[in-house]
Amino acid sequence: MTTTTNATGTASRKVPVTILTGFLGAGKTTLLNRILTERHGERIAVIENEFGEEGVDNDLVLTSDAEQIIEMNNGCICCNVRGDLLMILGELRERREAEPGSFDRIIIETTGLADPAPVAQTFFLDEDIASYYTLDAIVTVVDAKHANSQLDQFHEAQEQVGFADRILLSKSDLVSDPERADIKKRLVQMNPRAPISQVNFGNTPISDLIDIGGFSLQSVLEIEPGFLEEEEHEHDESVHSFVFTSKRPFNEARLQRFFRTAIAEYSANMMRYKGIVAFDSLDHRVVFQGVHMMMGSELGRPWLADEPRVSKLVFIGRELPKDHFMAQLEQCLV
Amino acid sequence: MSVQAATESSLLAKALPSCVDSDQVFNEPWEAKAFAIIVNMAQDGHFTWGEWVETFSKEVAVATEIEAAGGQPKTYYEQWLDAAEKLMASKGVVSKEQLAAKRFAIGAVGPTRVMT
Repeated sequence: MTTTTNATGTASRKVPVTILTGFLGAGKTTLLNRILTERHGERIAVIENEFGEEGVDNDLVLTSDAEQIIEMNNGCICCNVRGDLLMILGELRERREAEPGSFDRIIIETTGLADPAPVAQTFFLDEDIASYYTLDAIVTVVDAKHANSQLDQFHEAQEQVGFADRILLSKSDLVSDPERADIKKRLVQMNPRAPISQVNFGNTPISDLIDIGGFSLQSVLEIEPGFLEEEEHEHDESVHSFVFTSKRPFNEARLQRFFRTAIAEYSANMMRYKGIVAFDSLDHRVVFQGVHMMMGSELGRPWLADEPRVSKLVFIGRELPKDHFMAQLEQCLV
Repeated sequence: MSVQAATESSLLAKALPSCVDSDQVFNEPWEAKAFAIIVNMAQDGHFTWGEWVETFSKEVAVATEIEAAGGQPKTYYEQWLDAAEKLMASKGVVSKEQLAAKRFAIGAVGPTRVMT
């Protein structure tokens, strides 16, 4: 899926990009420096949003000093991209075309306060960028010590958790075991599809950061076990999640209409959604995912003869009308 | 000019819309993409240009009939796309199931907001 054909007809892989987010002081730069000094044989270009107190030690660091949000001219308030990134990604492409092998992948380190949506959307809404780069995943570093107060105070911190394909819990040696368990529980409630792993002093294998396939349609939809049994909410989050499952198949036209209506009304609040769907009209799984107003779907593998055809849809967003969505989805079943 | 380049350019000449002020000019990026895919696939030998012309003419005839009978009119490239899907399915390049699965999201968000 990440293979493209260039002008000379030879197949070439798109350049994978990782977005590294996390709140101020969470330890993004420490982590990045550890990753960059590891001997993994990957040539990584780094795009930094700002010069932090601690610099990134790498041959190829580009800085964007002004976050420039561009609204796409398609009448949607959530379809915006980062103009500064478009420019830098264009420059990097030129450099790589002039000097093949100058880098294999890109990591974008965002500012603590950055909204991940426009950064992510840059890779889907701009045709030139989408043809050359592929967004691998959004990785969010969460400071275990300060997570609770940051999540309470800053909606940006909540968004970064909601958007994440993977969460790295830093400074977890600074909190007690019950505190750590509490934070994990809170993060799972907000985002049940992002695995959480712990990092200490930036020490994490590079595999926690790259080739996660968070935006690959065919990547397995894993819901954090235990999530469905959780009932109580200790925090009144604006970013939250829910899962719809059913053993009855969907009617395709009805489910399509559901998404059309839901996206028209709530897309600005629908941060990430993803699912595996059984349609009565198809013997294959259909997989889909979406970010705000953008959505993609693809044919999955055939259902096995003895396999229950269970559909599973997860929605992560800001103040989504869960009961309304659940009732509407129920109506789309055969 | 090499033999290959000559063939390619004549194929492109055949494929390019002859009158630029009609609705055959590209209004949306997906239209240019649909156009390029067909030209490329013919070049790569998935079907002959004659086969494409035949499929496309049939599609245009059907769409014209539907419109004449008061049905939903289709633009030039919507007809192009319908024909392209039919020919690709009949040549086994894609399956009907793959097309149906792809169409699910396209129908929900429209062709310009599809994530691939």
